[in-house]
Amino acid sequence: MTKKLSRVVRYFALLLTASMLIGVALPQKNNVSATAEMVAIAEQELEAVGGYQQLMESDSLLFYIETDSGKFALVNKNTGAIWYSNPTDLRENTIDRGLTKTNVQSQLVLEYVNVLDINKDAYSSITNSFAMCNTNYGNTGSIKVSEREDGTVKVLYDFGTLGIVVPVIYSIESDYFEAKIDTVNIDEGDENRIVNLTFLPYFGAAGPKENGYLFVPDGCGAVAEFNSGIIPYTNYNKMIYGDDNANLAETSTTKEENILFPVFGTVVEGKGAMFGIVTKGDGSSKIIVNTGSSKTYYNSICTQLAYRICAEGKGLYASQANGQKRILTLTDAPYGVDGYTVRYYLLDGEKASYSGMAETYRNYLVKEKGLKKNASKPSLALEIYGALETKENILGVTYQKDQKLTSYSDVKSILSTLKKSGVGDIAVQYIGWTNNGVYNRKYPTSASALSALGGKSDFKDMKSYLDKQGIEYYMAADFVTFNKNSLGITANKNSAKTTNGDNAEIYEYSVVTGEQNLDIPSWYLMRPQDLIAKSQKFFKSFEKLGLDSIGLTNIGNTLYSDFSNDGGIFRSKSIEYFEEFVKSVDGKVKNISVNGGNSYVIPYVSRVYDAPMTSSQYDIFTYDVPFYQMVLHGYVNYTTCPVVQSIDKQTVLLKSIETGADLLYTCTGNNSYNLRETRLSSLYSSKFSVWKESAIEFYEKNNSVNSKIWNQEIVDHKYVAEDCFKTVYANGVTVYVNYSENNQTVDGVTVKAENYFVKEANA
Amino acid sequence: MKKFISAIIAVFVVAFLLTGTVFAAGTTFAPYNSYEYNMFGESVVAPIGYAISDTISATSLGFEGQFENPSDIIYTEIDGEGRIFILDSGNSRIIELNTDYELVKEHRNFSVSQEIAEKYEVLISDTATNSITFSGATGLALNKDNDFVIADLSGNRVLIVDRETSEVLWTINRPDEALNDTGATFSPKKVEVDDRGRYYVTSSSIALGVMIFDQQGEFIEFFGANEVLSTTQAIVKYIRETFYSVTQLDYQEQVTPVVIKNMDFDDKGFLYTVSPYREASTVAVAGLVRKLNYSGDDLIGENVIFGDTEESTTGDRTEFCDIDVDKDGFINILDDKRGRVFQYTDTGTLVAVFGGIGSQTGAFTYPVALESVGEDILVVDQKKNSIFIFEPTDYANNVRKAIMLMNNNDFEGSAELWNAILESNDNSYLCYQGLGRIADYQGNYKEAMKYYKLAYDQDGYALAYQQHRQQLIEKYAIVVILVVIVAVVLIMFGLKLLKKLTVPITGQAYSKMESKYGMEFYVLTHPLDGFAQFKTRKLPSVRVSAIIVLIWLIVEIFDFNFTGFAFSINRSVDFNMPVTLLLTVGIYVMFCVSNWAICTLIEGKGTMKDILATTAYSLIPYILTQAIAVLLTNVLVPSEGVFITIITTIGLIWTAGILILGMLTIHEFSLAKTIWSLLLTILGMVAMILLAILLYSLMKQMFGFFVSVYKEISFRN
Repeated sequence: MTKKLSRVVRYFALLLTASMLIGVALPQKNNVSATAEMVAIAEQELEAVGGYQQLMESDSLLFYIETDSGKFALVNKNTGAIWYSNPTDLRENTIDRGLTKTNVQSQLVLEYVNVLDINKDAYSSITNSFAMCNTNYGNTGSIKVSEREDGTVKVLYDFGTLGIVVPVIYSIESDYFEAKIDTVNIDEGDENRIVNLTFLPYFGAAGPKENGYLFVPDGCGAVAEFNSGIIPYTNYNKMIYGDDNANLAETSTTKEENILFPVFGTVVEGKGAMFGIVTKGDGSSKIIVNTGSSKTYYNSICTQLAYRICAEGKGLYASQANGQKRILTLTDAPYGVDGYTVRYYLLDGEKASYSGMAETYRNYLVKEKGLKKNASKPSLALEIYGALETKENILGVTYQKDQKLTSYSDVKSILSTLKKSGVGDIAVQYIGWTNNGVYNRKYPTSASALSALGGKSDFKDMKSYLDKQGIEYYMAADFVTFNKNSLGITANKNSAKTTNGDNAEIYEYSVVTGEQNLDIPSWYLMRPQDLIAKSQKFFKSFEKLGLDSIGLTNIGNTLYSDFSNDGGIFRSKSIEYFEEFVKSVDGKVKNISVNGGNSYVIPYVSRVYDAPMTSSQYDIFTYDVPFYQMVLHGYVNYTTCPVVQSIDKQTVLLKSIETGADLLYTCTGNNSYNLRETRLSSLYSSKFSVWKESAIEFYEKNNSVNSKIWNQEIVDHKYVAEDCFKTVYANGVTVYVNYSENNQTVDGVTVKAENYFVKEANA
Repeated sequence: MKKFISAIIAVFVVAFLLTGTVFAAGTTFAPYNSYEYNMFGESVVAPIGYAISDTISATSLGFEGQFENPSDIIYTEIDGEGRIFILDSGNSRIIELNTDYELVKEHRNFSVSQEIAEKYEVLISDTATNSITFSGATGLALNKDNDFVIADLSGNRVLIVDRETSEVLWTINRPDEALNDTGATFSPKKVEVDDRGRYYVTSSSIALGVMIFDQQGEFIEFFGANEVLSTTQAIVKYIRETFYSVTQLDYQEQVTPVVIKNMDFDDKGFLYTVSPYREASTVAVAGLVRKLNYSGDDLIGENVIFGDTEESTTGDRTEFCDIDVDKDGFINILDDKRGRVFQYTDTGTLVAVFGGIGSQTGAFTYPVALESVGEDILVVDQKKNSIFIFEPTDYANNVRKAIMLMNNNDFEGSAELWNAILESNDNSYLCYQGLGRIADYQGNYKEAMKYYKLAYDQDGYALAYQQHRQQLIEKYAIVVILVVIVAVVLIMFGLKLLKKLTVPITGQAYSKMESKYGMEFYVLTHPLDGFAQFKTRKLPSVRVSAIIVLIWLIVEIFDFNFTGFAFSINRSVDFNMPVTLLLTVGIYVMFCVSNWAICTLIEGKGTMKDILATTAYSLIPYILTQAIAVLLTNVLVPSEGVFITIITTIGLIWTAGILILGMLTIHEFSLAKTIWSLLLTILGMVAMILLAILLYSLMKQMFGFFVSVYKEISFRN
């Protein structure tokens, strides 16, 4: 018996070991020939689909192009996934008609105006590269594909009768693909002018049978799942970094968040992900998103270059009545930067998600923009308001008074109260501490203590307290906006101009009607070209006060052009001036904070106040993802939105834990003036005594989680259950946050309703 | 390998397909700002009251395809169970949900039997199945038997359909007798059923009010067409009716109809109606929302305004399309132009406002109906083909509870809530009013006054002040009596002294007062004599006149800034110096110049100096009584205001009298000619004002012209 049994056992063991060895060996064998195999499969498909030729190759990418149509395909060597510039399933597309049908086959969609005939009723016309340039279809244009000496591929789009010629250059690096519109060599002819160029509108587009999502960088970031079926009131078409403040609409409609990073992506289930970064020209770029529905066949996301602004001009005979001719104004200085470049990464495996995209973008910022790992311990963030200029009236005489909201000694007592209550780290931004206070300011030219807030001695006292306690603090100065003229800086000479030649003015909008409130003094915008020159004076007195950290506030969320007739510049060029300015300030001070936080200021700042907690929650979005925070965590500190004025305080606390953010409180002193009938009425309930207790409690909870991971990168973030998210950090700590009203069990862990759970590394 | 990878990716994505809804539990974002209105009609930022919590679409309920033009929603209780019915008109079906928003039943394939079809002339859309459609239906209700009542606008009929069998029981067709002379179609838009089972139908083509049909569908009457008229309107109406001919009257009726867009019954049987707007008005006005009793009287009245009162330059304004009274008596109104839902108490206090038009979650494209279900508010969006569920935030919940407790006179209970509300939002006028009421109830009148002042509640302030004053008087009774005695003695003494001054000094012809600088007081009691002395002794003093006018200006400034709160809620920041200057010094100068010009023409003998002095001196009683009035408003309350009115009237009459007598004397007119000259003077002033306005606008136009020419030139360079 035993002999037979032992033989069976032996054979069995042998079989087992052999299969294990094979099992271990096989995948490796597959890996070695994986790439070649994948490429072979891909090539077969490409042959079946069309006449694609391979023109470029790198370590991980292959580039194929059809020379007569300009359509190209990008192949991921690791997986064999093919990403087409234009979809290949046109025959099944029964929904798209007319112009959209030809857009689907184009790499460029061109919006242009006819400048010779300004009496034309149509504002602008739209056409595309397929309709105008594809010689196979009997039009007068052409598409010429050529290989250049340096190995890049140039495609010349000739729009025939329009007289416009646009050169596009494709290049490939070891891990990314770059598509560039060679704007310097665009030839516009005499008759027409380019207004907008939509670039590669259907690159990576997915049809109704595919599953996946589009990543939209709206606010903190959002996921728009394919084929939502929703037909939006207006299509998503948003300018990166917000609207041009020198060309604002007269009414504002609903509340929205801005796009802060010039990125976008597509994740296709079973294929991988495509991630785009606008590396040049992001200042004049828009993001366009479409999800599949009964009116739209494809799910696509792409960028659009705003080449020119076409606006209504004012004239002697201009009238607003319908039916009257409008005079169009084109800014003559187009675009302003040479080359509009979008870089595409192909991600696969675990990285084919918005988490992988966040990591890719962060690496890009570190490698090419100098982002440094500089996060500090979790703090309670405060935005303290100093003085507010209000109109007072005594016996018929009206005068302006600097109302004290929070004096220097108030600041000291508030901070010491917090410290004594156990709040270990505080980050303070002090707004309205100098000049005329929060509003109605002249351009900052001198930093000096306000007598209404306690004068020089109280200021020195407060400063020494801050330094001694090691509190992170930023004295705020806004170099972007000003209300009043001062010596050497006037609205007429130094402010950005609108397309009419008027000084650009920013108004507050009425909450009720959405119209500009003309009763409140407006802000002028400093010309980007003058930023560095006009701010020099301020820094002298700033340093004299012994200050070394500055809050630049609006520089992080305001981007605009200067439409002056001479020396005017476009947003795409303004970005360079803004970046230069922040860089020069970075050389002068130790730490900088900003509000909002567009990508171009990020490498130079140490804290972003009021980072977006949500997206604008468009109907086509499925859920929000904290992409913004995922990129920055561990590198730059950031705060939530103000807690007291938010819809639900507990939710803000949970968000701060989910995203590793610091809680933000707007703060005024205890005896402050009632702000109800002032411009700061949105700061209701900001008196310190009102929110003190709950802030300390929230800080403790926030600190208990964030102190474990404050210097770690976020490596993964997922939507794991209904209204439940998990965030994974580089050191292995996982944080689960449950927003729903029921307890949830995820990954073997129970997270209570409206609560959080921290899973230690290796737990 | 590819499949392996795709499997991993699949796990990421497939599990949680939500078909286009954004998780909204615990939200920190709403695509709208919330606000509250103060007494001045100004909006002030307020915390968000309602935020979106979920979306109901046909696909989320498990159907293929979407809702099509959903147009109405109702909530009712059947056998103790709450049920929600959605009228999915485009698909000719009604969706039934429970209070957890889960699908209970899909009512479709409505049919009608041959005999019913013949009896009521029901249009059958498919003769094979005897089915009917109502793709143009716009209103839904349930009657006493819990049968569906469908207002089929395009079908020009109201269908009563059995809820369980989906068969048409009977219909209400055009009431020909009632509508014959108007030639209007029936076009039933919305329908309601009262607690007696009668049918109320609004029509889009009839402006005679709501049509009431009895339980069998017979037409009874029109209801609710008449607006409540204010006194002036009633008088005008009376005059019109007395003097206008019949045809003119008919024309009047047709020109100002009250269009009732929608309606709702509350649980006490009152009918709330809502009208979209008043012609030619750019802001919401009174009368858009009415609460009607059985006689058709509006209990809300003309002093309460619902909707946005801030004016817009684009002509955009509040246009109401639906109204709903929730279980706690709060009124929810839907504005489909701006896409907003307003929630009011029935006294017109705004509790919450939310919504907007846009492509974001929480904003609408075309909202058509709303209904409250428990604490939630549901809004039907016809273009987005969805129903949105809004939940109250903690803030709104607290406000509602506090208001309800207060209405039940539970002051202690609401005190805690009001304090919590104040902590969340120290802007809230409503909150300060609540705190004032509580302090009032607790007897802390001084504190109550402070809160009422912050809430701009004059009535509350006046009542609290009265109590406070009473307390003060009782406390300091002795001091008050002493002060009164001293004051009386002083006044008597003062009067005696003045009298002495008017007695001629021994040895001289005139008294001390009859000097250059005392004359202004003398003329107040001896006008004819005093003014006559102007001529003989050359007494008019320009200096004194100037001082008097200056004092007038100061008194007006005081009047604006220091009038007691109970009488006027002027804010010092609203003070407009130029206007005040114009109304005092400006009027004075204009009057004198005009008078001088006129009187020169009609041969008056007064010089400019005379006129300046006469006018100024005669103003003294007016100025004096104004000053006294300002002082008194700080001590009295409006219900005692008659006292102040008496004093100011005396001052006015006295001034007028002195002025007339003065003019009479210095110009040497007869009384009739004096009156005539004064009338002409006023006309002259009007002419001056008109000229000034003309000149101003001409200058403005010219300036604007030059500016635009300059701009155009610099632009083209």
